[in-house]
Amino acid sequence: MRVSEKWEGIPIHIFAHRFGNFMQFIEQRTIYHKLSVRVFLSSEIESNYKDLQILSSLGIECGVYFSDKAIQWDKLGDLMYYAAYGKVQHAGIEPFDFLIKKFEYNSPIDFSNVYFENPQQYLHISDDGKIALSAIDLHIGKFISEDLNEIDNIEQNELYKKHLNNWQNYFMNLGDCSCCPAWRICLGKFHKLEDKKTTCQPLFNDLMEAAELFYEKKSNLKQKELCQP
Amino acid sequence: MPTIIFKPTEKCNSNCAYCDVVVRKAPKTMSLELLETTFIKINEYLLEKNDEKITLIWHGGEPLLLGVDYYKTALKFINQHCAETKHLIEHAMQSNLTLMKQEFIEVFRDMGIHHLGTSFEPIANIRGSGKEINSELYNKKFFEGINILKENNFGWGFIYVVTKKALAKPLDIFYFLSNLKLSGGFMMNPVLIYGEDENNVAITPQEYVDFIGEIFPVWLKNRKHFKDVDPFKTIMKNIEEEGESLGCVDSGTCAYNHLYIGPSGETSQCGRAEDWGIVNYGNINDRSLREIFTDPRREEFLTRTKYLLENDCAGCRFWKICHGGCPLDAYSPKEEGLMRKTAWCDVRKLFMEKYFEPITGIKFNI
Repeated sequence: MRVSEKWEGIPIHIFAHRFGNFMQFIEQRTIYHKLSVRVFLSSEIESNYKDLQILSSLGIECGVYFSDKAIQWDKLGDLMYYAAYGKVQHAGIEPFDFLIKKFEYNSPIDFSNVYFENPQQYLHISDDGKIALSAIDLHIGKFISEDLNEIDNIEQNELYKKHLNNWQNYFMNLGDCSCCPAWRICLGKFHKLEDKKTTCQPLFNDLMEAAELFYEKKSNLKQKELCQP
Repeated sequence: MPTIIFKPTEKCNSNCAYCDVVVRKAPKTMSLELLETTFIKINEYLLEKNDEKITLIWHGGEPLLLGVDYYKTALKFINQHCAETKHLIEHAMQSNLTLMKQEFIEVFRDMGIHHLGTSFEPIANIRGSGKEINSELYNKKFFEGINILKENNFGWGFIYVVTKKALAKPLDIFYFLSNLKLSGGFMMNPVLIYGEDENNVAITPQEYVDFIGEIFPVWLKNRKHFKDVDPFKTIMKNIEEEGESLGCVDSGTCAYNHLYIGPSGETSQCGRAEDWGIVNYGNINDRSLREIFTDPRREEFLTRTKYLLENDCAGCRFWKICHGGCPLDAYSPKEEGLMRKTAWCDVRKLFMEKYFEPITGIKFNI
């Protein structure tokens, strides 16, 4: 994909199935650095995990987007460790960077924000002013309101309220997600997985530990008082 | 400051596996006439003791079964009879929330209630309605209640009752409860069975200790994640504040500041006394609150504390955080009086020695 310097100042998120031609990217690298761009690659392709690490190390903000088809959990784990603990300077890798930076001890974090899929932050509007909760809903024509004027009071919309309370469905009984220590940073995103104990749970638990470490470092920095010269 | 466990109804819409109140008693509801009398008596007491505040905990049964008009009437009585003292009455409520409706909110706000206590059970068929204990419907209604509270900026905290069915998965239960309310606020209490254990949910003190004991190191390591989880938080706080934050069951000081008022106006020491059917102080129709709060039989609770310190609990390292446990838990239909420590006192000791001290490295009162 060719990028242009004219796009400077415009926030751009690129969602690509795979990385593509590396040489072409290198040629455009200086332009990428000028742009407010974040490159997302699919979790489905094995080589993408390494490519995201390369992009990050080159200073390009990037991230993985999760495909229903496949997630390479061991490679995702390596990428998470690089994102969280990598000592060499590198750009943020999502959703890890978001979770680490936004982590709070006693409130949930929804990393759907990274993909513009959290209705508390982002709504999706059709060209004729209908309101959808997600990009997919917009695509398939599933709207919560057909009236754009309702957007100011969207908190009163019953479908919107119902969606925000969907998390409660996990708490009707003891389940893998409701009993997971890392629930607060995942919120059941991978509930369809059958073997969570060897896939999402260890990764998100490790990620939460990293987030906690970062939070503590940040808090300690705030407390540091320096003498004026 | 006096706390009144106020049970205007024994009726309940749930059929919890560990509760036999509805079966044991023919559930009654307090008449409006008696409700009015209660507030007249509260007012008389507070006019005389205007340096005190009364915490009135609306309890049940299920207090929302009374309906919103009952609370509106209560508020009318409060405004009518407690005009000078209503600022000294703090209302609280313990409800299962399954009947919560928006219409309750306004009247609760007027009563000064902004937070409700509740309870929750993730294991199926322990809490729920009907003979089959329909927990699915119960939980759905519970969350509807929670959502109404949330929309109206009401807070909530909850109790988890540890039953036999929970014993195999303490950490699952703990994470579940923590995740349910990330901002914190729950308490894990052992189930108390007053009659026959028909549903096979009773646990031994040892089982309770091992249940919370498995959770304790996880809580301790991640305290910042798990705010306000009891009994752990209270124990830690007591070490930091030297016994200042004990609840009624462990304080050894409940003698003159707790009272139960039931639907027929019957009074006793507290909810547990009423459950056992002991330590009755007569009827609110016949006695003033001052008379009830100074009833000479209350002295037995203080005597018990002194007695235990010199006898059963003499030299116990954990006295300051236990005081022999709840006097009402010390009651046994087979033995006379309350002059003995409770089985749950040993629970505290066992927990401290088996889990708390080895895990924290803190040695208690040596």
